[in-house]
Amino acid sequence: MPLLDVQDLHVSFSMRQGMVRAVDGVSFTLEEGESLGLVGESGCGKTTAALSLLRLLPPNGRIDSGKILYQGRDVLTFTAEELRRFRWKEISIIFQGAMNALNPVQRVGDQIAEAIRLHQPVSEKDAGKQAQALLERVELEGRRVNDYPHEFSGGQRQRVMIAMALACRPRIVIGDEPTTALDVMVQAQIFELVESLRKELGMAMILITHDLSVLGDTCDRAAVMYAGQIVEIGPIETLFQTPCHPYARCLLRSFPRLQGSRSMADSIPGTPPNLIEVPPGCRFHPRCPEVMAICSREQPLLLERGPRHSVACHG
Amino acid sequence: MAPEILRVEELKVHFPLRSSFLQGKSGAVKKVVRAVDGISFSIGEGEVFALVGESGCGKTTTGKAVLDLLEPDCVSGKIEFFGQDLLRMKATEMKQFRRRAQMIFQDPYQSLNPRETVYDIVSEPLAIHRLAKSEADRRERVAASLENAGLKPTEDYLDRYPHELSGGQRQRVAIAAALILEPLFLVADEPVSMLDVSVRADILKLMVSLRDRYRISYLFITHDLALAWVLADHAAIMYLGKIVEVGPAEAVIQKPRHPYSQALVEVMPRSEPRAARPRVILRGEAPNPVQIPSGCRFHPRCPIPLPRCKEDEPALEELESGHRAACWRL
Repeated sequence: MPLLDVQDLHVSFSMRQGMVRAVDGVSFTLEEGESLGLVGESGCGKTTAALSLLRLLPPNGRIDSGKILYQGRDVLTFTAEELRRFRWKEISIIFQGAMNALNPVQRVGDQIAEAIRLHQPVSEKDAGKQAQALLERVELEGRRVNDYPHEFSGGQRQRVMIAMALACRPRIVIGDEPTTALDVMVQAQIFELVESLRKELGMAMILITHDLSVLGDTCDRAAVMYAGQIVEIGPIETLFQTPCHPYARCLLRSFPRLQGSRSMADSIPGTPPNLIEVPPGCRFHPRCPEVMAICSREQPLLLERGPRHSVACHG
Repeated sequence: MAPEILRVEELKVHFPLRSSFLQGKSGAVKKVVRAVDGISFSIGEGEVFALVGESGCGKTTTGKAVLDLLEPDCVSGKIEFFGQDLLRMKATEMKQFRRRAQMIFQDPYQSLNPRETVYDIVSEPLAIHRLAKSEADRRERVAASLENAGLKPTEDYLDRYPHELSGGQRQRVAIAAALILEPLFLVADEPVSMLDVSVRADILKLMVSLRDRYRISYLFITHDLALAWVLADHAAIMYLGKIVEVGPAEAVIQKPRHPYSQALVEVMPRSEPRAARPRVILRGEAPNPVQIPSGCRFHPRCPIPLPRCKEDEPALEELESGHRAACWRL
């Protein structure tokens, strides 16, 4: 049994303009200790899919159907109390903007200690000690438990967020673009830290990013999302070397590489569809360079093409 | 060698640090932020010159300084635009300069006035410089500029507001507004970093095509070496207010010689599975530009420092034609 088994998840947002089907039939599994990347452009549903795992959607968002099986139990059937115990203890999340995710008027040590005490019956003093040890674990000085978020640099704040995500030793950590807005050097430091912690603590990870190229350092597998659906999922080597879905190929090409030629790749023509009225058939067909007649009529299913490698494409 | 349009010599930008009331009274020494600390470079006609570095290295400040967008008191050194000293220009010359040199900002969500239509935004520079002969002429110029920026058919865009446009379209509007005065020099400060990957290539291609068509020169400011690689003719790597390596982009990016440039190249994501490639990840972050380390300012983070690096600051030395780096190891 996989640690996490997401089956046919549908999530929608009610907006003034209509219902936005942000996640539309997403299924994937995550094994113990495994690291999975969720990749796609803004608005493809990757963050919504991840927040649904913790049932942390904003008020206008709703999980319409599907199953989220965590160790065989459906998270969607949890009571409020079960959910409280589940969040952070089993799955935690490193948010994108650490400045917004941390409380600006509370010392970071107290914030970490609070997260610990919500889940473990420890004294305030012990929780404080644990907070200090956690800061040291993410390579910050322990005495900085007394500092406020604004006293840290961007990279350091992201380390505090990581310490906080680890506070209750979760089985799964979700990283929601944890290094966007950070410099390349700091990004490399953060990924290296996350990798070593993940191995040491045996955690599984879901890494959300728009930048396919960073997955090479951190992920075993990756799922490429487009317009609320997974179009290709497979081992990271396969996605880098022989991506099958035209969108995955376009996305991979969009990132200039130092190793490659100096010519610029073509961008993907058009824009992603709005998710209120999705195109019929394959959602990518209006932009696809390899479109065929069938693509505008029938929606391709996510079918296995190789070991643990599935693609949703008629081609 | 293309004729030079911009020449910067020993440019320094030192911002005074606001001191508290008490410090002012006690006559304590005023601290300064040495954001740019003596850099020299030149840009040829139709050339893309990339200034690459991490946040806080002074690259954006340099971009603002060469457009004369900073407090004059903070800026020293020499900035020559077509041989004319920018810091000593008369008002009329300055007005000419403002026509010929424009800036494209990073964030097209903030750089456009949300209450103006595309037409208002793009035509505003014409009004400021009183360039339109008539309303019809103004309309024509705005349409031509939008078309140049790839917003076609233009009538679809004229009456729209920024919030009705995508990020890529907004950046095109910003480019159209910059182009309407027929500039010869553009400072592009991270022009694509806020945009989704699939539209980045379009904006970069637009920049290149404008260069080819109108011989526009660019100072391209970026933290992303890969973008410098696809776009730039020459590149300079900045660290803490200084250029540590400069030269043809090919040499600087593919055969970097300064340990800092080498580290930057090594940490670039590669779209390769996690190989056991050895790499140096520098520890910590660049120090505060108020307290710049002695000697080579990179020495506290350098993986291979020498004893003398603590004391003497290395100057840029020529390694091969046009490729220069500042390191005692070389």
